[in-house]
Parts: sequence; structure tokens; C-alpha cells
Amino acid sequence: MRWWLRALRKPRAAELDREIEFHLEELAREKMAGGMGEAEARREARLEFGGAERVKEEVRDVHRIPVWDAAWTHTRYAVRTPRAAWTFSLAVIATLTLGIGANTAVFSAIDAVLLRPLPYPAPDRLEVLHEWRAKLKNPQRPVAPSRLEDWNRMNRTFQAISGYYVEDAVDATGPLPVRLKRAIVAPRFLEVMGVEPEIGHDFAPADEHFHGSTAMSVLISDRYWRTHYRGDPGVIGQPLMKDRKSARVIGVMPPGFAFPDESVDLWFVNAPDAPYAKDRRETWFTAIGRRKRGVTEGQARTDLRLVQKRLGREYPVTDADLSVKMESLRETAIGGERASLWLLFTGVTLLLLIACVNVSSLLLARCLERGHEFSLRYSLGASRAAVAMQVMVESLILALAGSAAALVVALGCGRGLKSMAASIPRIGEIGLDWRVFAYAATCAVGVTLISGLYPAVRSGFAAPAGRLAQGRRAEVSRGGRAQGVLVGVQVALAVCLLAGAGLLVRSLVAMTEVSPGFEAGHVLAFRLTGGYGETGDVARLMSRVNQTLDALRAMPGVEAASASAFLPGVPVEYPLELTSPDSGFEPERRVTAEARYVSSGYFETMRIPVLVGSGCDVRPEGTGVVVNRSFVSAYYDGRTAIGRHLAERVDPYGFGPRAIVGVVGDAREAGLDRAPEPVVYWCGAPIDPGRFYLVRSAGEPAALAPEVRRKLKEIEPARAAYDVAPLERDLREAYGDVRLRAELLGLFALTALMLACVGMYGTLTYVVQRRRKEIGLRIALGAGRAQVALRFASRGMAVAGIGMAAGLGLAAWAVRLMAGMLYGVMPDDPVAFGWAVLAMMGVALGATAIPAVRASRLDPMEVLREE
Amino acid sequence: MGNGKSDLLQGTLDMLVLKVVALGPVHGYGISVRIRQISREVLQVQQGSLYPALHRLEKKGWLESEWGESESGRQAKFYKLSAKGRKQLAAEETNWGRLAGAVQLILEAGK
Repeated sequence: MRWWLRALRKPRAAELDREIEFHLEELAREKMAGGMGEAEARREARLEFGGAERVKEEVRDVHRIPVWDAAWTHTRYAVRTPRAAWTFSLAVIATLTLGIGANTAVFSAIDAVLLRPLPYPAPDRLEVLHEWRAKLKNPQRPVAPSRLEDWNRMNRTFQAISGYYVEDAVDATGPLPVRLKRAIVAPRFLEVMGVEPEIGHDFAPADEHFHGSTAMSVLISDRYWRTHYRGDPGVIGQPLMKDRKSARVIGVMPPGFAFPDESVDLWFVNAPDAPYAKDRRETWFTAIGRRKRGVTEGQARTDLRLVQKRLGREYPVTDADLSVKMESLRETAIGGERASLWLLFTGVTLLLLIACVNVSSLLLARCLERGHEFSLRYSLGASRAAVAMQVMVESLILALAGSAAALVVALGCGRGLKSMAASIPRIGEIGLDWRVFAYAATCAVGVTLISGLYPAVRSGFAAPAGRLAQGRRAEVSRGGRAQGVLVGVQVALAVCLLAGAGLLVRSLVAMTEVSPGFEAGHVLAFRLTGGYGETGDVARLMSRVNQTLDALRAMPGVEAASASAFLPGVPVEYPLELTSPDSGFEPERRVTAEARYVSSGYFETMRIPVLVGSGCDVRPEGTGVVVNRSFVSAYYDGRTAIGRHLAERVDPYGFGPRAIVGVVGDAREAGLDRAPEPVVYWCGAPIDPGRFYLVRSAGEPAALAPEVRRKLKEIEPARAAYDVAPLERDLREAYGDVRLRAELLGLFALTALMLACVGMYGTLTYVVQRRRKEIGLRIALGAGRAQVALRFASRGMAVAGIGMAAGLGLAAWAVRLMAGMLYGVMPDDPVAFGWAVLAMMGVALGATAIPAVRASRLDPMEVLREE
Repeated sequence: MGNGKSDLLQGTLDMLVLKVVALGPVHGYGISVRIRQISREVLQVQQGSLYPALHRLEKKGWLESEWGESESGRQAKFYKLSAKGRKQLAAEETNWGRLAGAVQLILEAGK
């Protein structure tokens, strides 16, 4: 027989029975042949053979694999044992489900956002490139098309360099114009991304040259193809919009392709040799390059900087002050979320640790309770290792059950996170993949080791003989120290989490309570689609915006309307460096201010008080600037500012110096979490296509939205209004991550508090239970009931106190994780820490008082009679 | 041992079983009978202990087994020697020879 057949052929019980049966019968036949009666022969045969059952057992032993078999025995035993104590098991599994579930949920977010590779071939070689003007306050700028071509041509370390920018497009096929997003890309875009169209082909070389006509080629997204062409494979060559001389579809991108972001549906290519693209000061593109295989980041960076140095010599006017900023695509895409996610992960890991400690003390309590059982097993010959292993196997089974339930919890939490944290890039990819499963399994093993090891070792080393003799009698002041340590650890971890959550919540409150200097209530904000192409005729663009504003102002219920390049209070930094020919600034003095581009009516709409002079209502439009109070106090120091002239140090649009026409109150334009800083408002309709319209309504702003949409359809039928929402909602969303962070960490902290409470209560109740006799004896011997209660409560509180002190120390160390996330509070904020201690103290008091009082109410007679 | 029968020396059962099986395929009962017959009724195998030994040897790959018809026309499990078992038997025979010789030498000392 082949070895594998032999391996497959396990000795089945029936076969063994038959083999032995045959032997017995043959033996009996032999004896009958020797003259015995049948019955006697059989009896003799059986006697001679020995116990058939014992023989069978011995044969089975031969076929057992010792370790595996021992593990199986333990497992069977372990499954049976928890069943006997289902409340205990349920408590453990529920605790672990909560702990591992929350942990796995956060891990699944980290997995989706940070760990999973970007969905392009060799994504590690993709680098994002910017122009870098080291001398400016805001040094990072997009890249000019002609410069991008130079970089691509002259470097030796990149396979190819391309670029993109995103602008609005309109889908006018439906009843209301709908906004689309399109990307304008530089040549070689798909080559850099390493992606091919699913249907059709990449841009042809002819597409990447300027012909003077508007005939263009376009790549469309899979989504656009399905919704607008019903997935028709004959889409290639069809016009994009049916009614005009429009771009032709040349290809459909694969379903998962979402670059620059997932809402982009159309990709057009920009011809770098078009006349409007040749100005080296026109910076458009976020450049993206693919490093050659084997080239390090450092080599690529050095190479590009050398290239730019050469360009600086070639074009001294435009390129001399420039350098190159290079950052990996992954870092650009998710860099900002890393700290937040790791903070949450730390919080949720602390929670899991608390859960582990809880489980550990539950196990420990149960092991002590089962001391008798263990002692019995020792005396029957079980080794210490066997008993320890049994405890470990039991905790592993509980942990695995907890992990399995945790996956369900994680899936649910992941869904919640997806909708709550929609602003985090790639969060939509949260799902259960092998990494998450592996993580949950690792958690189970880790939990087993952390929570099971100590009880296991303790049970393994319990003195067997003594315990057995002692029975359950005379349990005086024993086995309490380990539990005390566990409770202390729990309290410390919970206090740490509470303090951290307290800091975040205080930041959030501080942020919402601060007066921003403008009134966001009753303001409806929206955007209108527009393209960068319109900036070619600024006068026409400004008059169009003003017409829209006039129409809005004429609507009933509208008190004021204006346009702005940025939403007030939503964090955007746009610092400019200024010069002034007539302000008498010292030549070395750097005058910097946040720049805002606003139309007439802005200060009225936002209710920002005009302190001196006027707002932006000067005529002709686009002549004045308004500064805020901080600007005046920073740079004019008592001198009058009105009438002086300001200009951008680097002035690409040629605004020239403009007179200061007014001074307004300080408003937190660049973010609610930023202290007022110097701001300069450039008056005149903002020419950037990404402008915002702000409408102050008499009533509820949301109620005004349908009316506004109707009006816009009437006056701008070819444009789509989008992001129509009250400004307050925009502000809330802008700080959604702060809120989410505070809420989640707060949730973790409360859960931790609850777990610690359960842990303390459970442990003390258990201690009291075990020491009933001692307590009964004490009371019988005349100890006061108050004294007994105090004894237990004070011991519990002492442990909690040590835990709290340790927790505060831990928190003081851990707050460094929150660098940059705190607003309006110091990292050692006494209020947050005080609340953490108070909350813990209150819970600890409750959790110790109940068992302590219960101890003092024991009836000594009843207890002593229990023997 | 007064009745002229001998219990097996520890560790020799395996060798005897291998030897008997080497003579041709045989079932468990047959093995116990043959050991008794060949040793002229001197060696008595504990019938029960035969089966754990058989299964152990089979597990080690020295024996192979197959169900077949016995002399009495009933189904029985027949054991036969594998190539590996043949080698093992040779090794054990050599070993036994050395051991027996050595014991003999000691017993003959001083005669």
C-alpha cells in the first residue's frame, strides 16, 4: 500500500472490532477442537486474550498524535467548561467583542487609508511636483505648462512627467444643469499613471499639439460611460455633448480609476504649444512624475533641482528664484490623516488593553474559584503545564469567539466611519480584506497572551496539595494583590483616555464658542460652474458675476449678496507678501497678510463691521483694498492707513498698487481655529473660477435654496449651481475631522470608563464574596459595620488613586500624539485632566461603595452557618 | 516459568512478529499460534498485547495489511512485511545475535 493510502486509512473502530472478534473466534474454535463446549471455549478465549476493551484502547493510543491529541482534549474540555459558566463566558466575549471590534474598525480605516497601496502600477514611484519659491511666505505654487515640458525634457531620472488641474464642466442634458468635474492634463498623463483606457486609446500625439481649433479629444470615466452612453461599446468617436461642436470620446477609463479624485469624469489634454500656455508665469499644473526604476527619491530630487537651476540661467526673469518641491503621491494623498488615524488607533488600543485587563481579572477570579478543580487535576496526575495550557486554551477560545463577533462589529463601525468621515481620502475603500481578518486573528492571539498568561501561570503554580486540603475554608486576605494591580492598570488606562478625549472636546468647544468676527448664521453659500478659460476676459467675467449678484439681491428675502474666492472661516491659507511705496515701511521689513478676494457687499453680507472708510463698494470696481484691524496694528501702529497703497511683491496678474479704502474688524477668515491675523481684501469680483457666492437671507437660509436655484437657472441656464448649503454647514463640515476625532475618542473614553467600572465592581464584589467568612468572623467578633465597609472601600479607592496618578502621568506623556490637534487649550490643561480624574473618581466610588456596603451588611450567623 | 513456558523478553516481541510475518502473509491469530508452535510451546505471547504491537509496526511502515480470506473462510486482516520491515528485521536479527552471544559468554564464564 502506498504511504498516502496508508495515511488515509485510519484504523476505524469497526475494523479493529472485527480484527479482534476474528481472533477471539479462532481461539475459541481451537479450544472447541480440543474438546471444550462452545460457551466454555468462548469464556476461556476471552480470558486468555485479556480485556478486549483495554486492548482496543491501547491500539487507539498507538494511533494518536500526542500534542494534537492533548490540544484536542483541552479544547473539548474548554468548550465544555465555559458552557457551564455561561454568564462568565458571555461577559468575557462581550468585553472582547467591544474591544477587538472597535480596534479592528479603526484598523480597517488605517488599512484602507494608509496601508493599501494606491491603485496604480508601481505607485511608489509616483511623485507630486510643485514650483517652490523659497522667498515667499506661500512658497508652493503649481507648475507652468512650458516649465513642465522643460522638466520632462531635461531630466534624466523620470520615465515621464505630466500634470493636471481640475475645473468645472456642466452636464446640461438633464432638467437642471449638473456640475461635472473635468481634469485638464498635460501630455503623457496615462503613461505616468501607468493605466490604459478600458476601451479606445490614449491621447494621440496630434491631440497634444495646438491646431488653433476647438476640436478636442476626451477620455471619459467608466461611470460617465454607463450613465450617459448606457455602457455602449461603440462610444468611441461620438461627440461628448450632442448639441455643439464638441470633443470626441476617444476612450473609456477602467472602473477603479479615480485620479485626481473620484468625482472627475472627463479628462482633456492641454497642448503645451498653445499660445496661451506659453507664458512662464502662468502656473496651472499640479505636476506628477514617475521615477525610473532603480532611481531613488533623493536622486530624482537632486536631478530636478539641477534642471531648474539650468532653467534659471536660461530664463533669469521668470525662473531664477524657483526651485522644485517633490513629495510622494501617497504622502500628498493621505499625509494629513496619518496623525489623526494613529491617535484614534492609540485610543482604541488602550481600550482593548483595558478590555484585556478586564478579561484577565475575570479569568483570574474564575481560576481562583476553580482552585479546587485544578488541585484535583494535579492530584490525578495532570502536570502544571497541562493545567496552564488548559487555561490558555480556554482564553483562546473565548478570544476567538470575541474576534469573530468583533468582525461583525468592525464591519458596522466601518460603515459608520465611512459616512462620518467622508472627507478622509480613500476612506470609501474600508472593507474586510485579508489584512483585517489577519489583524482580528492577531488580536485574538494577543488578547489570549495578555489576558490569559497571568491567570494561566498562576493556576499552574498554585500549590496543589495545600489547596486541596484547605478546600474553600479559611480564605483570609489572599489572592488580592494581583487583582489590585489589574484594577490599577485599568484605571490608569481609562484616565489616560479620558484626559485625551477631554482635551479634544475642550478644543472643539473652544472652537465653536469663539467669536469668528463674522456672522455665519442666515448665510447661504453656493458655487457656480465656470472654467479657467473665462479668465482670459476679466472685464466680461466681472460683469457676469455682478449681474448674478444683482439678480440675487433683487430676490425677496435676500438682504445682501456677494462673491468671494474663499469661504470665510473654512481653513484656506493664502498668504501674500506685500510692498507699499508710500507707507514708509523699512526696506527689510516683510509685510505679509492673508489675501482674500471679495466682491462688493462682502462685509455687509458677512456682517463684518467697517471701522474706518468704506467696504469694497468703491467704483470703478477693482481699484481698492480693505485691510483689517490686525493689519493696521501690525504695520501702521497708530499711523493712518487709509489712502496708502499696497501691492503684491510678486504680482503675476499685474494688479499694481492699490489704495487702502477701508479698515474692517478682525474676522477669522483663514480658519475658526486661527487667531485673528493681518488680512488684506482685494476688492472686485474674484476672477478665480472656484468662487463662492454668499447670500444673506432674512429667514432660514436653507429655505432660500430652491428659490436661488430657480433664479440661477433663469439667468445662467448654461451653468450649474452646486454645493448649495448654509454657510454654517460648510463650517461644520470643514471641522468635521476635529469633531469626529473628539467624538470617537470621547466614545472610546466613555467605554473605557464603563469597562473600568465593571472591572472594579466585579473584582471587589469577588473579593468580598471570597472573604465572606473572614468578614462574618470580624463582625461576629465585634468589628463595626462602618469599619468593615470603610476597610474595603478605602482599599479599592487606594488602588484607584494609584491608578489615577499613573494614568495622569501616562496622559501627560501621550498628549504629544495630539500635537497640532489642540485649539484653545494647553496640552496640560488642568480642566481636562481634572475632569478625567473626577469622572474616574466618581465611578470608582460607586464601584467600590456598593460591594463595600454589601460586605458590611453580611449577617455573621448566616455566613458562619454556611460551613 | 516453572510450567516450561516463558514470557517474552521485553522488546523482543516486535522482532518475533516481524520474523513470523516474514514467512508469509498472516493474520494476528496466526501470528500468536505460530510463535507458540515454532518455539515449541515455550514462548507465550500475551494475546492482547499482540495487537498494539501490530498496529505500532504498521504505523512505522514495517508492516502492511490487507483484508483477505482466512483458512476457515472468514474475513481476516493479513499482515505482510514491507521492504522497510525487511531491513528492520535484518537489523534486529543481527542485534539479537550479538546480544545472545554476549549473554552466552557471560553465562559460560567460569565454567
